Amino acid sequence: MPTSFNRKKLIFVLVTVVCLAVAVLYTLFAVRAARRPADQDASSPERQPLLPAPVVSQPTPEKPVPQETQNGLTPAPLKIPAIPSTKKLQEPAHSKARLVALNMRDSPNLGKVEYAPLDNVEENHRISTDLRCERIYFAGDQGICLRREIHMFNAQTIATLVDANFKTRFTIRADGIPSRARISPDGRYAAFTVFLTGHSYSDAQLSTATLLLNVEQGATIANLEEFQVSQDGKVIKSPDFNYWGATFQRDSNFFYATLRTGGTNYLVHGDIKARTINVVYKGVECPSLSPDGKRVAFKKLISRNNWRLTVLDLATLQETPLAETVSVDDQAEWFDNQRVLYAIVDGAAWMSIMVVPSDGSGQPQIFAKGATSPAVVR
Amino acid sequence: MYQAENASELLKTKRVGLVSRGSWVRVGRTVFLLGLTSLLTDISSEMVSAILPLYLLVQLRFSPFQVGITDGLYQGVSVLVRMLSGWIADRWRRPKEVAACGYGLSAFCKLGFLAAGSWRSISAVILADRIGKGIRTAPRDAMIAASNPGEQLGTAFGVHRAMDTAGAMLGPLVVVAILTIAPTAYDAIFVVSLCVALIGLAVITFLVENPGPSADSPGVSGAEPLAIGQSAVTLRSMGGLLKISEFRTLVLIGSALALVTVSDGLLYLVLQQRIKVASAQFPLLYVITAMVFMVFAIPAGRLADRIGLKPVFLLGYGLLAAAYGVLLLPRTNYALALLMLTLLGGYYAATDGVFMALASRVLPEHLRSTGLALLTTGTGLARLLASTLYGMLWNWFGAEHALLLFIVGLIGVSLVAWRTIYRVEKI
Repeated sequence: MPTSFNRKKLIFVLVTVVCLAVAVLYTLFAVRAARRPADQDASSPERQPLLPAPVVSQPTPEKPVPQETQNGLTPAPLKIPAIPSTKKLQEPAHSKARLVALNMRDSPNLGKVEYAPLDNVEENHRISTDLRCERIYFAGDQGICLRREIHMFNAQTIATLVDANFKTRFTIRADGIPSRARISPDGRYAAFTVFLTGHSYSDAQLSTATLLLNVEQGATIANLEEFQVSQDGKVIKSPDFNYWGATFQRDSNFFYATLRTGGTNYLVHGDIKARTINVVYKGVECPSLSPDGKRVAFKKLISRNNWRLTVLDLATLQETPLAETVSVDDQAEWFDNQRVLYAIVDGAAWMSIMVVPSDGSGQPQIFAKGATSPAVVR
Repeated sequence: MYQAENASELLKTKRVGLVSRGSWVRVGRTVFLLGLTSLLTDISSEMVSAILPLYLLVQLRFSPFQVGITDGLYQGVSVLVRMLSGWIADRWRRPKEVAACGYGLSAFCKLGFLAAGSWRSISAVILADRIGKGIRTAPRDAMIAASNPGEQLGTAFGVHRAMDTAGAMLGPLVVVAILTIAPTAYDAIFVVSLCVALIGLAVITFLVENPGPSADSPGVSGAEPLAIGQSAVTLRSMGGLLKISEFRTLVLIGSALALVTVSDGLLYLVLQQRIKVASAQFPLLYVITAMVFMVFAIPAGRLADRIGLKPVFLLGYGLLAAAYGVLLLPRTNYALALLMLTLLGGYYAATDGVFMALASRVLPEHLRSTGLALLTTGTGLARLLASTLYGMLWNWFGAEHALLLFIVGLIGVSLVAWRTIYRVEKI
């Protein structure tokens, strides 16, 4: 008995020593790897994400100093390359109808904002800027660009409000990772959505937050969760409210968005001045209001992780599934009143912007290959 | 044999005062080693917990709803596994091996996190990790109970819980250390976490001996359960446990108390809304609670051994009610928040291990793992229900009134518990 016990002790010591050695050596290896940021960057294309959201691989050996306040009223002298470089701009970028989108093709320019005349968005017509984002949106000569910044235990979204020349005007910080962004047609208001992380993987508290911004002042007006919500004329309130994907009406004081509570997604209609929100309809995610303001294009959940791009007529509440059968997890963008743009995963890791008629007819077609986050600027 | 272990016998033995020897020595080697295993395993799993949401969202780019969605399913599976492992541990009389399986499964899941890339595979790994936790808990607590004479049961559980919580607090610190010297080195965190877990597994595998009634021939032949005239451990005996009135009372009381216990996450949410804690500081709330738990786990156990398990257990729920009370005060500042977190930590220290000790006393030894599994299953389910219940009440009456209702519930059930558990101790 004692000998077998001693043998056990010996094995225990052996296992412990081996494990400690592996732990220490691997950590040292990781430290060495981290000290070579150049290599890491070069290897990043192979380590592409499985769900290809636009990647902004920030090679940040030096931590950017957060100069802004949490709600960030500081006019930002942030280190975002602001001047369009590759080709000189003679005129404001949006004097003509354009498509603004993110590059999802070649890795050096991956995630950079590019624009092209709306009538010809072929690759050789796209002009790249130096602005890198995960989500870009443009309207009324104002743009919003979302990036992420990764800290030790959390990630933050850095929303920059940019002008027509892609110059940063303001920077707003929020906890969470970037998701949707939108600007009102007149450029007065912006809204962006972040995913907040919980404290552990068992945490069902993982949630979203949608912030409403005054573009002129670069200030946060509200987190939508502060608005008063009514359903069927009754005020409702719950700790589990989550908002995402706002879209503005022409007069811009009103907007639509998704509210999730009790496991159900609702289409809600909000009034910025009155700070109220009204539940309108069920089962709508990431609404996008048509230019004529009569319909919303949205993604409808049909099974887990499978969304059907659908159009809802706001007057008749009739839903029309669009011809796209591939799952669309994006905020749709109206090309005009007859066509809708959206991005899907195209091939191994890239994304492409597709176009499909808004009445359910026809077939989806590739609109802009190797691009995502479409914004139609007229 | 069974008679000697019976609760009434145990409870007749005099409660001893605080002995001068330290708790560590008094509770014995097995408890210390099991505590060490838990400490290492908790370092390992908390390292992963600290970074997993970020790893999933940032590195693998899952959407948060993918991360949160299947949690309910896991809870259900974990409950089933827990019952099964408790029963197997009793039937084979090998709680150590069964517990070690659980520790081992969780350890190798750390490798799984590294290898898994798709949403399906990562949720499978999380599920396996949960199953590992479900497997190990009841056999381990049964071993703690078995390795200790009755009058030190509270202290034994206290020592174990203190070490366990210490591990949970060390884990994130290790992550901070690694990420400071190697930013975004998630793979290193998983590897180190695996190594720490393996050492923990080695402790229980190579250093811990199966306790057991046949202490003279430890671990040699566990295959003669029917020899000494003890009843065999069958599936029916699982149900038979509920015929033991003392145990049934504990299951009912425990579940009733759990039903009026607000989950920590929700409490922190209330606190956060009232004192405007930035979400980056959210983990701090957990740290403070855990620290208090760790510091007071042993003293609470010793106190329980001295004045009785029941008073300390109910005192714990008193602390919880007080913590809710603090949240109801018209004004909240940082000092009050700290007080609330301290009360919450104190509640854990006074109830978590003590409740297991209480149950261990009324359970026949050969069915202890099964019984403890049954008990934690009951309270676990009640706790899940409680979250839903509180959410509904919050919705209907607002956060304050919902809390008030829970306080009333706590006091009510505690009063009932005082009467009924009293009868248990007297028989």
